[in-house]
Amino acid sequence: MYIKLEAISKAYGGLWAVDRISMDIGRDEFISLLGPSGSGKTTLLRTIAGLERPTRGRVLIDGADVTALPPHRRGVAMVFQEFLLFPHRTVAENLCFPLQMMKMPRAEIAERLKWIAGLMALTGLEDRYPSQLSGGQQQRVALGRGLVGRPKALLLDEPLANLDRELRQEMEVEIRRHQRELGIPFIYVTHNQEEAMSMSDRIAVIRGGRVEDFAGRAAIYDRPRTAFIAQFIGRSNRFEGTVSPDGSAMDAGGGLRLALVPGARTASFAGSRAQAYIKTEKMSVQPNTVTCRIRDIILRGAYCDYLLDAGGREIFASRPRSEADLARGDRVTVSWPAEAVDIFEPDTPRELAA
Amino acid sequence: MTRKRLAGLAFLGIPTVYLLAFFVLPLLSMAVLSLWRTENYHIIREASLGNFATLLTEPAYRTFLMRSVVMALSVSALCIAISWPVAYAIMLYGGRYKLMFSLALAVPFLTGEVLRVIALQGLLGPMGIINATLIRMGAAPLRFLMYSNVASAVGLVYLYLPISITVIYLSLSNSDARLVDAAKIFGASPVQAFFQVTWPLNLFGTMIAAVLCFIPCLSTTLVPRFLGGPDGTLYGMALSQQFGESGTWALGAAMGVVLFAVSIAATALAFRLDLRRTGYSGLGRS
Amino acid sequence: MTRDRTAFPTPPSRPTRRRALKLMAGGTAMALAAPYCIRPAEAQENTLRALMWEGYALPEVIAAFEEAHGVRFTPTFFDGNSEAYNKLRVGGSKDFDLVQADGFWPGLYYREGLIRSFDFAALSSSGGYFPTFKPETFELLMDAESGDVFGAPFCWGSYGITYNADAVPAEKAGSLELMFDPDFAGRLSTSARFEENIAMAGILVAERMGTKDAPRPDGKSFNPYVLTDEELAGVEALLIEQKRLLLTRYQDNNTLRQLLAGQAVVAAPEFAQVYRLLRAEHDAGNLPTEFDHQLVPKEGGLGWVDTWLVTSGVEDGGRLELATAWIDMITSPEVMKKISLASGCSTTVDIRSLSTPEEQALFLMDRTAELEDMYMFDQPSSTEKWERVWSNMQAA
Repeated sequence: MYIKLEAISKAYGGLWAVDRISMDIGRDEFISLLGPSGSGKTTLLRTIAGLERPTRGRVLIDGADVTALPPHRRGVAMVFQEFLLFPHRTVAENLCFPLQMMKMPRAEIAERLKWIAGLMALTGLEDRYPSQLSGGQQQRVALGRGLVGRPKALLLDEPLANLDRELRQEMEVEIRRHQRELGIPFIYVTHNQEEAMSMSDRIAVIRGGRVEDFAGRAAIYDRPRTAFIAQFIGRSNRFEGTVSPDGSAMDAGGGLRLALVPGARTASFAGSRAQAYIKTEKMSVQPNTVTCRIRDIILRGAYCDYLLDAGGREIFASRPRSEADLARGDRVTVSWPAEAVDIFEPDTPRELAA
Repeated sequence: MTRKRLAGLAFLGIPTVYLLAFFVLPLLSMAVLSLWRTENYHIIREASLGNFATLLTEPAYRTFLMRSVVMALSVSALCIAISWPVAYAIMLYGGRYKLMFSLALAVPFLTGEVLRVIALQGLLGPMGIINATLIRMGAAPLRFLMYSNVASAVGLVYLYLPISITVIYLSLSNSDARLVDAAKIFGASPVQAFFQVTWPLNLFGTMIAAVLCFIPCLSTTLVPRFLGGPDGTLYGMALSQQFGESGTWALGAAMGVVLFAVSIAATALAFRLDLRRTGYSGLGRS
Repeated sequence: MTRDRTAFPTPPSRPTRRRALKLMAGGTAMALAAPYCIRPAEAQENTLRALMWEGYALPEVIAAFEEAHGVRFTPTFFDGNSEAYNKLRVGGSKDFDLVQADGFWPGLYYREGLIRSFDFAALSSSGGYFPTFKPETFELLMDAESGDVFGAPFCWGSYGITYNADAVPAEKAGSLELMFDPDFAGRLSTSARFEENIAMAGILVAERMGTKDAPRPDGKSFNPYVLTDEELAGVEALLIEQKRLLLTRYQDNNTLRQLLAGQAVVAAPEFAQVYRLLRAEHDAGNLPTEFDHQLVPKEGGLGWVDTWLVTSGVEDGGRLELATAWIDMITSPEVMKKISLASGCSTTVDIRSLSTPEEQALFLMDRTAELEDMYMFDQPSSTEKWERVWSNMQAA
């Protein structure tokens, strides 16, 4: 593997911000570190960069142990959330900074500058100062500065957090394209699951300094390994109840029975309490029956979120708008395939506190 | 007239009147006085440039000015050289005592300048702690510390160091330390990161600190009087003699005009730097 | 010109600081105010306004006077004759009733109409003066033509040389050459006052050039404050030569006291105030070194007599009576004794009957006659020329 993290731990004042995280990252992978704020994902990224020394563990890049190396000797680059462009340098000077630090010949620097400015659509802006650029332009300078030196890896720390939605989606595509073309690993820190989903090959979900799961993005979405992932990724309905002794269904109370797919995993919950998550888009809604009443409809563009009242219980269902013409107060039934139910152990109080 | 215009007038008017009354008028009267001349404590109101001619042709006054410029330059440079590491250390290692450290810098200002200079005289003089200790240990006293230009320089550094440390500390604490992280990531060693990022971004603050040391040093009167010794007469001290002792007020006023011009020129020279090159973003987007 | 008359029993740092501040602030303010004649309020019936040395303002004396006469006494302090002179010239003769000056300055004031004569003989204290200061012998306060007296003598002093008697042989101490003696290089000090430095060097230069007792260009006898250009050139050269011999020019009495007591300096001209302090310390057994004071060097020395003068703004009648009543009171032997002890100055009034033999010796009460041989403090013949000499010396 190209980048190897071996049991990285980082303690801050008696607390483990990063707790025994190990990861293997391939040469041309786009990896996201996804987690809520304070989960330790940025600390992990800064450890890879060399801005933090791990309390324990090792960082290997391209086979070499770089744990003790200062950042400027690791050959990685970084794009920061606030861009952190040098305000006293022009666009060209910002872009060339990594090259100057490498003591690259002048002619080569000029060539690289031309290449990166073209790649980042910054041609013509070379003599501006960062304060004279728009947010998107600043973002492209930051990305260009990260890529111009052809680093061994590019680390991105929530680089799109400060951009508006439209620009963010544009940049998502662009960043992904650059990663493909350059063939170096991008390690992307974000708390935004949509960003992670849209760009990554693999996603590491991080919570409380630990990796909850590190898998392909489809697997993370479709087969959440933990209750945390199930509720953190996508939008889900949560049910709590007791699984029947034969493991075929869960009684969620109020007369609601969730059918379960038979199998070893369901069987292990037989007769005990469990929690279940169903993604909102897996709920189908049909009119003219009496099970639920539509309490509210939230228009999301191409699809609608229906807030359903099922005998006092709230259920969300996401459906394409074209599917049915429903109005608030309509009575509908809601159903889902048994495969859509993800079942987990109930939350323990300790976990809730964490 | 609307309330808003009235408020605007008050906001701009009060400083304007203040400046006129306490800055422009005295300066003007000094300029007028510099064109007259004195004769045995009498002011003769005949306009001429005689005083300026005297200042130009008499080597004594040029010597005073040169001494003062060299003194002010060295003291500013020393202050900056000492202030940077101190301010930087407070920034890096001050922890939760940062505020306390920066407030502690202001403590010397609680006593008057005269008291501080006299205290220094006691420290550096022949009977002072330094030389008394040396003598007690059987060593020869440090002659260069007693009543000399070195003593004056020490005194001036001592007087203006708190100002320059405070200014540089404020500049440092207002600049984004994460830019240093960025520089390191992009291949800068700690030393390179300092000279590529920290230094230029705080150059403006450093210049302010330097000018705030330079200007008062240029016109200092007390320090050379008490510490300078026979060869330590500086321009400001000579100037104050014109007013306080010899009664040659017109020549003194001319010296004041020259001092003012030199101070303005030095300040202008210091701030010829390109503000954008210091990361100063108050220039707007253009 | 700043004569340091710090009241000597008080802690020295306070007056020193105030003086230095005044030096700066006063100098600037004076220059700025001079062209515009800024004046305080007009005279009020029940106040007596004096322009005086701060060291002589004793609160108890002032309070007693205010009570006896039912008036308020409002003193304004100055730091040098030139400062007081300038204040009077820009209209101060109307702003003050009384003014103090020394040396030749009262004569200058009188010639310029800034002060007026009064009936000195009518003062009840006028009989108490040492013979030297009686109007018949002390000519500085009498108009030569009319015989009118325009001032009352007050305190006196010299600008003699205080020296370390253990380090400086007596025969060397008797001459001004001591202050220019390479044997004591680095162990000499003079005050920062430019007039007295130049005048003292002037005496020595004129002595060396042989022009001191020769006929003078102005037809008068030698006055170190009236020097020829040649003499001034000699003074400049001598003062430049002296620079490398000086440890420093002391700014205040306290510094000089420390330098002398610590033996960093062995000789310095001063107003005998530091000498008295050092003597007192020696007599108390706190200071082993013995100090002596050469009142008048053999080439001649400088001296001063402080006076009380009545400004020309005071008209005959109640105000004149009030002003002379103040002078009468303050020159009475009992008050003079208090002031002498507080300020460390010798008095022109004979207070021997009120003093111990030690005080009589310390305050030179039997040596008033020597003052007749001294050159009185005066205004330089050309402050512009003198200033240039001083600046050239400082820059050399």
